[in-house]
Amino acid sequence: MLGYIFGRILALMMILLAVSVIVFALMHSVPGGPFDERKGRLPPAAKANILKKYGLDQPVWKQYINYMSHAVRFDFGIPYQRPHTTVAKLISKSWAITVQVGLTTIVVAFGFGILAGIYAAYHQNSWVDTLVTFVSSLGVTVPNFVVAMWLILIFAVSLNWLPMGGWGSSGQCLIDKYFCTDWILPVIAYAIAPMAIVARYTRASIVEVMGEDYVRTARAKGLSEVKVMRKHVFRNAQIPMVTALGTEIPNLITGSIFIESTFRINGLGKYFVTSTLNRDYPMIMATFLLVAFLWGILYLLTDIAYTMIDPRVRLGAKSLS
Amino acid sequence: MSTFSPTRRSFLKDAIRRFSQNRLALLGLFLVGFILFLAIFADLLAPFAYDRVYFDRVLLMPMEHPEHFLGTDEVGRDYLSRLIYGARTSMTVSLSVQLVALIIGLPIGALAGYFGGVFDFVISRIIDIMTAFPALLFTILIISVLGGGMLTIIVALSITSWIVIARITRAQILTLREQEYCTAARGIGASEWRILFRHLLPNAMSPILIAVSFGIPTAIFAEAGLSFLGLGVNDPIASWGKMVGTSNAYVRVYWHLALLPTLAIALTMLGFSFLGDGLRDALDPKQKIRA
Amino acid sequence: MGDTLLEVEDLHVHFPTPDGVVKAVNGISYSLAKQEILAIVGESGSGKSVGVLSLLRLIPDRDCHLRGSVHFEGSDLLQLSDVEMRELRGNRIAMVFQDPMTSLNPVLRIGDQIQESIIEHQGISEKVAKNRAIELLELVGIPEAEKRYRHYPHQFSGGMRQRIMIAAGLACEPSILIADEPTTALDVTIQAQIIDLVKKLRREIGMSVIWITHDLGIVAGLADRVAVMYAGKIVEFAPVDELFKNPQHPYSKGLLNSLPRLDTRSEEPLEAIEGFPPNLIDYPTTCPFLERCSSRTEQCQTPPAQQALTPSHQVWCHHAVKV
Repeated sequence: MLGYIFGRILALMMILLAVSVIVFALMHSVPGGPFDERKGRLPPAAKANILKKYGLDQPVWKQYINYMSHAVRFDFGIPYQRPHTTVAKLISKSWAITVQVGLTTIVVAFGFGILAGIYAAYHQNSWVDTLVTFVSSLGVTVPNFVVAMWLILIFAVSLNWLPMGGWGSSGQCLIDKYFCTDWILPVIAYAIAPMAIVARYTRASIVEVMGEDYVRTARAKGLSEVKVMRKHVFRNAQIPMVTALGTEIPNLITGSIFIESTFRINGLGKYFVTSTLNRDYPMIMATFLLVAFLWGILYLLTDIAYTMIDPRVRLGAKSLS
Repeated sequence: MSTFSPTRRSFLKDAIRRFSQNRLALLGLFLVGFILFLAIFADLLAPFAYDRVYFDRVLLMPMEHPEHFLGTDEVGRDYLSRLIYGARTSMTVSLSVQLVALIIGLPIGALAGYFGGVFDFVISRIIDIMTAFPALLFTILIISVLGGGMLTIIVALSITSWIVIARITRAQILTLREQEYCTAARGIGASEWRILFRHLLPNAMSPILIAVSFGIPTAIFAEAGLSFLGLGVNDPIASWGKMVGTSNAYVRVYWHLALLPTLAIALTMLGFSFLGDGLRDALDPKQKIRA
Repeated sequence: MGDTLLEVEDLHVHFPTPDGVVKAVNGISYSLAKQEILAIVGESGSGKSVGVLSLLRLIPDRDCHLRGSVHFEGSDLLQLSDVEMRELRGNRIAMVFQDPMTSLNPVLRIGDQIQESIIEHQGISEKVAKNRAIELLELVGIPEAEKRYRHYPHQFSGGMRQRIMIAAGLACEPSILIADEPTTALDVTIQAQIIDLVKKLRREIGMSVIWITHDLGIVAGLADRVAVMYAGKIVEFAPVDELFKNPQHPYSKGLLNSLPRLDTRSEEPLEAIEGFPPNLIDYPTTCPFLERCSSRTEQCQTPPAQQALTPSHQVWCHHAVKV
């Protein structure tokens, strides 16, 4: 088990290395950098000076090695756009907000998704079941920024109940001592797709497990219906639900870009977009490494979660796919 | 298991019957047909050119001016015309991306799956690396390098989309090449290429077709999303995503600027995913949950 | 035979479906004595499994209609409330199912699955229950019971799993163990071990067994009495030796003739019973076996009544001969 995890982390490191090479190569493959004439119109001497300051006058491979030797010490350089701070500082500041939004969303999505799925599984073909199916196919299909716009049109513009955007002026909305309503619309818009998928998975897996022989065995033992559900059905239904968790949480990473942009939240996603627009290489590079790292860790955690729920799964055993 | 390739004709007939009995799938087909119709005949259908600017008719509400049924946008362009041309942008990008993905991904996946070896190893590692982070981020990176514009978007999305097709084709060929009719074909001396193209690929087509049909709404979403973020097609080309993005600043009063393009995106994506669901249920009745 | 423990009278089990009512069990009656092993034999679809599942009301009420009565320990099982029924299941009447691969919960330790009915019904502590579970594992012949207690189902072979299922069934020392084709999914050698185990347990614990099977071959060395079922009805009911020596119903004869025997010449082909059982939705008004019977006559247009050849040997056929 430990050996397996170690191997996976090593593989993750290799992938991070490959990602860094690809991203770095791509960014330097075309002429024109952040300080080209289009934007700043700098005198040639000043430009050469700046290029030197950022090390952009050296050959690409040297720049890469230079960058990586700093990156392993969590020094990701200085953002071109904000020379007075560091990439690490900027990321950790905006990251805190993104994590707040993300965690609230996960709680809402999985909480309501699981409840709706269980309800639908129990009342198959009832109108609630139909509603869950309908909302979930809508939620899976329609992009979150579209849902976000609809929510804004209804609750902010038309009814004027909730603010159109922002995540607390302090950026500390949820842990602020005042309860605020900023988070409601972004979280709902953000949560709807994963909630729909979780509800679908939950419903399907509970319906499937309820038909298993061992559930009949449990009933034949005279267990109460509550115990049959809690001990035999839910334990087994969790297995496909972890799959949903494993695939949906990484998807939230890209989702946050749109949500932050729609609701004007100053999180990591928004900085990613502005740094892309400005070709802010150090920011892009660091964000990419961070996302690839998170993505890999989340998949590893999902696999570990499987072994905790299902004793048949042994990590490191050769899978069929 | 039969030692013959499963026959195609009766299977296709069954699939068409299953599809035509599926009401949602037919609704999807209708929606997709309608959007394609708009996209193809945009020049005839739109009352104005997509880039025609009326400086004196800025930000009109729907029905406010008799010539502008759905109002105008913030620089005075007819909104109905922009919506119709938006269908063209959306369809051009998504269909070309899937076509390119198919042209690149299908042969690469098939060869990797069938012949294995070094080529398969290299392709598999590329797939590993490309799936190590969200495809959309990679697309954004390529766009940041190449700059915006329709062609860049198609290129950037194709680079991430062929991976999906290649992966599915490779997996299909890997399982199919072990089946008995393949061994039988080899037994009677069919050449490797003949086995691959005559026996294996036709039987691998269902899942590939399903992947393409789900790839189209993914590409529609990507184009709309990128344009929404301001990373997509350049002005003055009309894109639904960009229309939603710019509407954000005006939404308090001019709600139609946000509502209409979001409806267009939602209906198009619903149409394609109903169609995709219908195709999947028709072609692959065993698999029920979309993984 | 001793005192009657269970008395099933005129049991009907019907399933309403969109295509019509499936008449799975149509008026079966039998009794089970203390410490008796009763075998119910029939082909798939004969209603033998449904008949016993309905004794414990394990088929959801909304899916089926039950009629008749099942007397056990002074009450009619079909009239009990859900809570009363639940107190009986696994406690007084236990059940072992056909496929030990799917009948054990894959994500729970086997010890947990054995002791859960004791904890449910007797309200004893986990610790006492654990000791009892280990005793039960030893009783059904699982070596290193203490260690194996903590293992998961996938760590056992099929035969071992069926032993675990039996241990779980015996946990509350039930007076009846219902075994629904418990050896069908197992190898022949393992089958014999399980049969010996059940016979041993019957002696040691003093319980009665209802053993459902489609295989007359294993009945001979196991059961005291045999009920042969066909199309939801009992067609012949006799002590096991009597049935093997003097089968009267053509279906019983057919079943016996389809068994390979060591004492006959190998040139003689095994006889299979031609045809298929009748449609259970459109149930025949004739003798249900008519279509497949080689000795049918005009009489067979009416369903046969019960004939007692001896006090313990009953048959439902117009052509049965008294000896």
